[in-house]
Amino acid sequence: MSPGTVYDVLVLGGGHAGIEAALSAARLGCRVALVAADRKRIGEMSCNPAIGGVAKGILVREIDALGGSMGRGADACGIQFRMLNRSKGPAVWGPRKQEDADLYSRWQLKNLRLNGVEVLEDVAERLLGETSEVEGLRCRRLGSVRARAVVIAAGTFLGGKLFRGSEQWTGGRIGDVSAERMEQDMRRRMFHVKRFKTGTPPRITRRSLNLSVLDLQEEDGEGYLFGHENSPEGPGRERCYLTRSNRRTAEVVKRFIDQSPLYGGRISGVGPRYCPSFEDKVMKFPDRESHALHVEPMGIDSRWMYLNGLSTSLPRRAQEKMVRSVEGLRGAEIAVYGYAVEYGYFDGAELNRTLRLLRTGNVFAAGQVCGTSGYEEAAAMGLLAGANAARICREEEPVRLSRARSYMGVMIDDVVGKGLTEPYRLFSSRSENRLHLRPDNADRRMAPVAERIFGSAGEWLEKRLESAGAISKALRSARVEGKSLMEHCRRPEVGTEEVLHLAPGIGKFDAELVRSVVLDEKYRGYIERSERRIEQRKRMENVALSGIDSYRSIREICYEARVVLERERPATLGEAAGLPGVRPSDVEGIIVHLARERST
Amino acid sequence: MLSGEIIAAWATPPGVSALAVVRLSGDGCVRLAEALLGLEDGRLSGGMRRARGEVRRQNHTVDEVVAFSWPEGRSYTGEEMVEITCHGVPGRVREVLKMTFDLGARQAEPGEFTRRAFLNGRMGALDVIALSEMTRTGSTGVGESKIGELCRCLEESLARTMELLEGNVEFCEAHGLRPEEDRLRDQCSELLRRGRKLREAAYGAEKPRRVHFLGPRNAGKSTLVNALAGKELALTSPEPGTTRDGVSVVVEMDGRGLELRDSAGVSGRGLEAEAFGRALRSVEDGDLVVWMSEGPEPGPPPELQQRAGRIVRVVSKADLHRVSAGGMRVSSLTGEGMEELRRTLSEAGETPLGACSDRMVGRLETAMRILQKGDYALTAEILADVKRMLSGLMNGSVEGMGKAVERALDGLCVGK
Repeated sequence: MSPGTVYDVLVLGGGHAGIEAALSAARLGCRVALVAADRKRIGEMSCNPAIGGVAKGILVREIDALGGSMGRGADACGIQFRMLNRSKGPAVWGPRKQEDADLYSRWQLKNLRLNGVEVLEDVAERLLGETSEVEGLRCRRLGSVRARAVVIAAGTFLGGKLFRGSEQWTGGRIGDVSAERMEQDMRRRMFHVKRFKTGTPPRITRRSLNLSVLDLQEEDGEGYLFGHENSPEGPGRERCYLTRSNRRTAEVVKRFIDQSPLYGGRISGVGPRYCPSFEDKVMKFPDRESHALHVEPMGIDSRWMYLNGLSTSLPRRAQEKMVRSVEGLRGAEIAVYGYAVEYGYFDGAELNRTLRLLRTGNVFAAGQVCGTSGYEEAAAMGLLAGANAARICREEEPVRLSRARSYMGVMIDDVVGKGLTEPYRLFSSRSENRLHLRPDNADRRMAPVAERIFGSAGEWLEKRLESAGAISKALRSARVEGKSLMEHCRRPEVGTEEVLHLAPGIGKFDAELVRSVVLDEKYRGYIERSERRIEQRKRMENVALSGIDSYRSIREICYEARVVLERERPATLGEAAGLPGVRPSDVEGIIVHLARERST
Repeated sequence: MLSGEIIAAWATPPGVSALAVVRLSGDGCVRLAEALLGLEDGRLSGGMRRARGEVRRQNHTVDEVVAFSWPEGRSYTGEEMVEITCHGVPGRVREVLKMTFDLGARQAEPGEFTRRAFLNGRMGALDVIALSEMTRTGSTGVGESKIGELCRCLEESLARTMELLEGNVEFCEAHGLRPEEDRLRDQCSELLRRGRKLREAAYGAEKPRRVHFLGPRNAGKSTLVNALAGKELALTSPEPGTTRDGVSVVVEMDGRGLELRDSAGVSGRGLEAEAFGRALRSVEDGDLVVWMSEGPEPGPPPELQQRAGRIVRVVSKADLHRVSAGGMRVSSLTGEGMEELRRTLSEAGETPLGACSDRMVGRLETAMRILQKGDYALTAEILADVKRMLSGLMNGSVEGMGKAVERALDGLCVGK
């Protein structure tokens, strides 16, 4: 950084959100700098060394369609691939890649450089200027770094505290400092910062394990790519293993539970229900004798193995006993002990759907600092936050996403505006339009968004749309049993594979794309209906109920619903309709009341 | 302006009335109405229009109706809308409603017209007053009845199955848990079992639809009733006028109860004439009449046409005559036309509660098939459909299913 520099977009944080934010801003022609405490830890996989999974894998494809780097990075550094839910239907397929974590970090750093993003090694201490018009960041080493827009992607670093047994220290993750001052500054500026917690399992030395007694988890399927570029596929192949905890593991937990920072009450933040600590599993499901544990390599020939499923913040001695009680791990040496992190995040009410912090004109936020969990969730939000920060600099209207068209839209809609009760993780069932939000059509779904954000969908996407159009045309013109092939493939008994052989000439197209087009057609009726329902719901969400002082006097509502409505005080008609005990006829009653008020 | 899929409902209060209204709303409902009334394309489109027409199923007239149409932006809901004014005979109104479903409309969810109207900013002060009165009279849905209990059973089972399904999608493989395909299949079977039980009860709950067999003497009414019932109920002989008074039997067709009523033939004198008069008077609103004759003549008397819900004309003894005029050709002897007649009668026996549970069972069967094909997301989508139907059935509302169910339940004793 040369003195006097004013960046367009300044990104705080070099994690998965920060990377995508910086890249999308750079793609819009902005001058971008990214502040991270340690450049070597950019894009670090602080927890499990894998990308993708159910719903998350689809997010990665959506990110890729918008020009993000996560998919290509995951392809270049992948060491094992599995398609989760392969037997459960194409809408819920969950592509997931095991990654060489170190290589992934290096790949992302290099990619940032290639795209002209300046990396500043520093720790941010506060925002510069007025809250309504922020001028950049004040950093510990470089002092004032000025910028026209800022993206906060601080992950777990905002006032991060680490816990293990009775040990407690400040930090964003192990070996890293915490952005304590930054959290204080945000609180001083009256931002509503709440706290969540999360945790990570111990890493085990590979040679201390007896892998031969563990169940082998083979790769499932080859050549799957998240990214649209034919990047060389990974540095090599690795194997994953499966084992299980047992009664002795649970006993260790029970014996040491009073030394748990979670159960001892020292951590107040709420943790992710869907990714619980091992302590939680044992204490909440005392009858379960064993829990699955995945033993995953951290990279090609890596010295460490990741123990997926054993997230814990018990003291070191307890962790050793727990690990060594498990089959195949009897002689295990722990290289890095598990720990818990408690961190600050912005309440959803602070953000709008463009991911701007509402009380500022030019500060955006993305990732864990908004209450989400997961690399993919963070990256997706980062991409939008960075793009919108850049659009503000270019004096263009920021972009919002529809929840009917992408998981990105679903997630942002879920996170923004309302209070989260636990770290947010994406599930396929969070979408009302799941049959449409598939991995196979992510590129085509996102093309209009790419066009809105970047002005054009990009050459490869346009080509893809063109081929899809040609496939539709071919399917419409080919005849089967007196009908067009397109109509024929709507029938439930006709499989997508079959279609490939039913029309001459269809074989010349990319088979995956043909399948995708056929699926669109198969599910079309359902998709159209879902979209209408989403639209209707959105309209209901737009009807504010703040004008209603009391439900007691609305005689059209039944007694039970009145009690519920009085207690819950829903903000919108949509919320009211979702409350248990409020029946459709009661919603109608509220409508009658509103319309009556409006007409008098 | 938001426009949704086409919804339809019986919009006027239930029961017998001079006129009744079937209301349609949503993009494309004008074209649907044109097809329903047998009008040429465009007859109802392009503005506020009115047209008379006949609603026909196969070759019999269900009802003569008048339709009013409104273009988008000028109707109660703000969407394209049609109101079909039918004769207020419940059987006919139901039939008209059912036919809109066959043409692609779906039963309106409780309160859906109102919701659409409100969201499109189309509710006026008078609408509010009218609605307020109606909502206040309240409706109880299925309540504490046996059907209500079965609905809740189905609902509970549905919730559990959906939960298990989602759990399998989101967590199983990612967390190294064993997939629970068998359990899922079992739960789906249980779900289907409960759905069928509901359907059975739904048909049982409603009084079996009455079918009167009327026509000239010696047309073969009793022979036909016997053939349909599969047993000898009435004394039959080639001699005209063997049957003197109504004999009835309850039969089941596709799970639907039908009460078949045999009667004495027309035109006779003395006792016979009196018996026919009695049979004619016993035809109530909504009842179905099978008018039998050996040829096109004689047709049903006008007073019967006024009263019956629907008249199916049957030409009997098809094995003896080669002429085909005046209705469905049936021979009890050779079985000719019997299948078609059965189908017609069983369709006529369908009631709203029955039809809705029938549709739910149909969806559940589809869900089961799709699950076996390994498409969990589609299965979930279909189960969500069933859930919506069920909630429409269970929650009362101003329009639609809620009222229809209530009506069907009038004759039900609590805790049956």
